[in-house]
Amino acid sequence: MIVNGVAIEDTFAEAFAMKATRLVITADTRHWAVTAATSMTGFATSVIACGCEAGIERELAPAETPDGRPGVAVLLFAMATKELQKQIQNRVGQCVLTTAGSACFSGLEGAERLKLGAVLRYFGDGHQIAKRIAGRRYWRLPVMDGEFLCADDTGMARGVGGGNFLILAQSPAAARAAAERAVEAMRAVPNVILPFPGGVVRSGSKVGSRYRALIASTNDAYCPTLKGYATSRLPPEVGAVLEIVIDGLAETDIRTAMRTGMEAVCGLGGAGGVVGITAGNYGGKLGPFHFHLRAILQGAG
Amino acid sequence: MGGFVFTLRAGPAQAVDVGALLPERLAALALEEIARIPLPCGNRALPCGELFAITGTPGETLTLRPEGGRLLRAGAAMTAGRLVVEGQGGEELARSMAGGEILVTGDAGDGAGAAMKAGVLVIEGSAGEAAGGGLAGEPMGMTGGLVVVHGSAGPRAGERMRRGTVLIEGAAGDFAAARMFAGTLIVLGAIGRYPGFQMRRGSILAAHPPAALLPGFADHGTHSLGFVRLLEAWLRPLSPHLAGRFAATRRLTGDSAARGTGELLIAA
Repeated sequence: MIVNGVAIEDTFAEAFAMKATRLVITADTRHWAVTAATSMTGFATSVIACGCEAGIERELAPAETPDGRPGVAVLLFAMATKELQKQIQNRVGQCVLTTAGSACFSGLEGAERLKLGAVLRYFGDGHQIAKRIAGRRYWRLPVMDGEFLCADDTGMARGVGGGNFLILAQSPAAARAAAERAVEAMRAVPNVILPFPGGVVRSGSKVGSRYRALIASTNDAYCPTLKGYATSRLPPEVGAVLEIVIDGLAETDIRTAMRTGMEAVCGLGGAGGVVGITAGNYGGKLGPFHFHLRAILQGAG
Repeated sequence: MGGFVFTLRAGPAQAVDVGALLPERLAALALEEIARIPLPCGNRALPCGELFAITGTPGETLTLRPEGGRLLRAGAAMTAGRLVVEGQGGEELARSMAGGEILVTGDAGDGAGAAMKAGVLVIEGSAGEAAGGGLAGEPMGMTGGLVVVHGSAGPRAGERMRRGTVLIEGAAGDFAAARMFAGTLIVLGAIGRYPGFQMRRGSILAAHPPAALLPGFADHGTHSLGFVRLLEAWLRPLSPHLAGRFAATRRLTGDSAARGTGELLIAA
């Protein structure tokens, strides 16, 4: 299958079940809401070493937030409920609570809950106040610029992590341009985040390593400086590969994001230096979710 | 919609205890059965059909028309549905209410919403003493739900309140939120003497400075508090007058004669 000069490999992305939550962070100005969200979603590219994968889903207008101030919706994903709980309390406690003028709200409904203010309240050292408003419980913690307002808990969803596709291009510049274009389009898709820096990962990994201490190592089959080896998966004209990883609240969200991103890449086409699109999988044995590139682009799958 | 309408016939000099007339209970009964329900009235009990003219069809809303007479315990312990009192609500209205919605077009007597657990009580007129308060002898009052009084309230509104919200658009009498454990009392009109007498926790939001303050309150100055915006957004449909009134408040905490972590927020 070739779209606008871009070869779409007949393969699939393999993704995993993850636990997810959405938080809504607000502040007096957009700048401080974005600052809090950026800080709390920092160092959250991969569960391999960050504990969770997190990112900004989108910015929210004052009319969309619970307290009528500028806000940001962030999504966090972890492999287990316990880890997600630990991550949100540490990240909200260290990055949102600490941000000037911030407040933190639940962004997900649902019966399964993760503690938020319920654990952070102890920072108030006895001066914390619980308030039940419209059936929801909030905590008010006195801080040095006023009060930190925080939802008691947040909803947890069964998300999907690890949706992906790889952009094969003639040069690093062409790969970057195509990836940037894809990321820009995919950022408009709701319920997903692209956890890597700028939404793009250049050090794609394979499972295992020749070194016993490592559980993952460089995806040498896609490294252009190793393309002369028989194990390489790259045709001679490929000079760079960039990967886009997607975490989403549901399988359909990932599918939508992948289609949006791949269409953007194909829009640039062979003329833009794009050679092909492929995806990362582990033979289909590890992850329960399979996203077939061709089916997604054809609107099926 | 639809629903039965109970119009009090002229006659009883005593208040009629209508606590048995609840929407969720009547939904399962035929008209003849409803007419046989005994209702306490003075030192006797009379069949409902004798006291009230019953019209309408089965439905979600139950309407009580006291006309010139007096009701007692309307909507007491109600758990679901909608009750409308077209006229004076009487004493102990919505006592121990646990769900549903009650609307009173007139005034309510003493003890409206006493020991309420959940649900919404809206009084378009004024309320008597201890609206959103507690039952005699009980250590704690209201434990949940929302009471909105469009008119004024008597003394001790929100007395011994444990949880829930009471909003009084008019004036409130003396000792508002006396012995409050927690919860929120909002007064948009004038507020009498000594609000928060021996309050332990909880919040009183007063749009005007109280007639007299207790000495057990510490003044922390004027602040803009984020939770007020959530409170406003929630209550705006029920009380448009609330908007912007507490954007900045003078924060006092007390009563240090009790635990002392309650707060009195006076609009600045």
